[in-house]
Amino acid sequence: MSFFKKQFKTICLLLLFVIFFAIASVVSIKNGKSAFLAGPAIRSLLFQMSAGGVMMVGMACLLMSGSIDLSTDSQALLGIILFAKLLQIKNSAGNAAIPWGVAFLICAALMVAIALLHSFLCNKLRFMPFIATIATSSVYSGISTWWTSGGTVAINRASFVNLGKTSILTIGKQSFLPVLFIISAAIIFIYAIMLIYTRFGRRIYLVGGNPMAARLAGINITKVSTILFVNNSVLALIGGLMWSAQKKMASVQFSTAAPSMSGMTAAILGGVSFMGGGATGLGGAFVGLILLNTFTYSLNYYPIFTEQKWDWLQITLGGLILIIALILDATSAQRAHRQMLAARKKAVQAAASKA
Amino acid sequence: MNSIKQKDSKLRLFTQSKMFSLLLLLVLEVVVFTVWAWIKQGGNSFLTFKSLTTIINTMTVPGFLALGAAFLMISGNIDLSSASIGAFGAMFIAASIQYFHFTWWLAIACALVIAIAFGVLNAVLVNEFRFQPFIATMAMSSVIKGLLAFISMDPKAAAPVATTITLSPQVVDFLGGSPVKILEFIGKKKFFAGSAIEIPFNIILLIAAFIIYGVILRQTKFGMKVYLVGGNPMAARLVGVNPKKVSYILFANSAFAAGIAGVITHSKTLQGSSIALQADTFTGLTAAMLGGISFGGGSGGMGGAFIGLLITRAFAQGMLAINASSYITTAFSGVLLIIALSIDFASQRRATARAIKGV
Repeated sequence: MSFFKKQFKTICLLLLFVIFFAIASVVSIKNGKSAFLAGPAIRSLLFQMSAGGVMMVGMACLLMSGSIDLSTDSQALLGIILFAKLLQIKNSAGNAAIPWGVAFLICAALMVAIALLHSFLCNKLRFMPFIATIATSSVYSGISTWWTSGGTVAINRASFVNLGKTSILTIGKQSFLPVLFIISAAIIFIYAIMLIYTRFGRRIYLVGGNPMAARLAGINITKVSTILFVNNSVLALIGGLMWSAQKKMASVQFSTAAPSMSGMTAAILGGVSFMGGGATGLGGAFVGLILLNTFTYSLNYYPIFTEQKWDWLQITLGGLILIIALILDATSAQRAHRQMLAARKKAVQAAASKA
Repeated sequence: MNSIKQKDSKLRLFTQSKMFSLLLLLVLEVVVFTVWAWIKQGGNSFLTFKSLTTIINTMTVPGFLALGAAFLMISGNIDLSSASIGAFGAMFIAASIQYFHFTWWLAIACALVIAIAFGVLNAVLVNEFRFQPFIATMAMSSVIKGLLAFISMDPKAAAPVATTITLSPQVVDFLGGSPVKILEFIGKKKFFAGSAIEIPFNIILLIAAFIIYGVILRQTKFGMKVYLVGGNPMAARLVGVNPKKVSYILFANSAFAAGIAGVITHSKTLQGSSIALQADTFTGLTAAMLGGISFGGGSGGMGGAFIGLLITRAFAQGMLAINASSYITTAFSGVLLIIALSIDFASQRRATARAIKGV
């Protein structure tokens, strides 16, 4: 019973997901066949989720430690553009000079450098994380747009692009489970385990919940924060590359979708508290991710939303969902606070009656 | 004894003040851009009256954004939705005059009331639901952008979202030409037109607003409250100041200033555009921060904010003078913000060091 009580919010979110999924499957029925409940639609939904999911993990860890990185999208954009440009370099024989694994490592090094810069700004110069990363965000996106002149860089390395194409398991002859989604789910699973069962995972919660107490307990806050910034940036690069593998290009279109912002919304929806700390692990955040992506993606399958005059609603919904998620976060935090006060009162009364 | 006296001399104090470092930064910026533009263009293209006129002309809109942002930041809050609110105001005036034949004063009044309503909504999210100000206002900003797309639709044509609304001559004739005359006066009237420096009407509005706000901040009880709430909210509450009330007023005020920025945006072009002010999300903030208003709240003033504004505008004009692409300008505006933050950090550390020394 206490399990249900504890996981009440997550169960609600799951139910909502089922409802949205069912509605979308029904309304998209045309000629007796559902367009939403079919191989291609599910596959592209899962593709969208796999890049967003990886980026969500890094963001969720940062949020739990009470920090944030709003430049995640533009970092990943800079990373994938560098990646695509590296792949285009040819050697004297006219063949590709750099294998994509090496290109990935070079880009990862860039990400680490960026993360170290952020850590320096936030920990040494004591800038607020959100304002420092907003400032650097415009630097990265400015450089990326200037480098590509606002256009796209094609990626046609077969071994890399195939990774984005491959899917397994089929519904009616069409496969729907992309390999990328399996990788993404595995990463989320590993981090969820890490957060609960390792010492470092507990430290993240502690730093977020009460930095002063964490310092007194002997935790090096700067170190934790630096590791999380690096972790976020590298995961952002991986998420960005998943997007590129499936679109076969690097383009500024990547950051207009703002996958890390929707990842953040999903994490907050799933119970990762914005104030740092918070009891829910990545399980709730994963459910939030599935719910949010299904909802926004299924909007395309509602007959009315295909009309252009509903564009405004889709723009508005992004903000509204974030506000609703935050209100849920705030009310549950208030409830937890009340429960704690009640429990303390009870304990005091019990002690008094004993005396 | 003598040395102490010298230490406290006015000149010495001035050279140690933040205002001095700001002016130094402004001069440095002008010199760098002049030299850079000279090398690139083979002649003086930055240090001219023409640049000065352009700077004055483009200063009003970010100026009003900075005004609202500065007050909020002194009280320890932030509003990232002000640019969207301004864009919404500009679009609202255009749409209401064009489609519903509002008179000019009704359109402006409605736009300002709606702007204030958005500000109060921000304050509710921050004070009642205890959201972090930046995330609440960021979410609001995207909601407002959606509504902006909504009001820019033409109800008669049932057409897809329009990107700009221009007042058509028929509508202007229908209304007797009055809305345009007044709006044109706000947006386009220039004193000393044709001379070396033209003074637009709206810059006078801006300077008047800066003086009024500066006086409120320095001379009135409310101004003291703003500093107190920003410096130490707990202490403010203990001396009987209601931080919530101050926060509500300041969010509403920030949105109101953004609304005025929207009115001026509209009156300059007599258009509503769905991408208006998009590049100005952080110009107001950067200006205020450069002016010595720190993020923790409790410090800074309007004079500094005005010089901060001049620095950001001179920067934008300088990037134009050296023919930098707009993408590079975006990149460097981020760098400018980081410089502003670093100056804030350095001056705070110096202040702490001085306090520890007990001077």
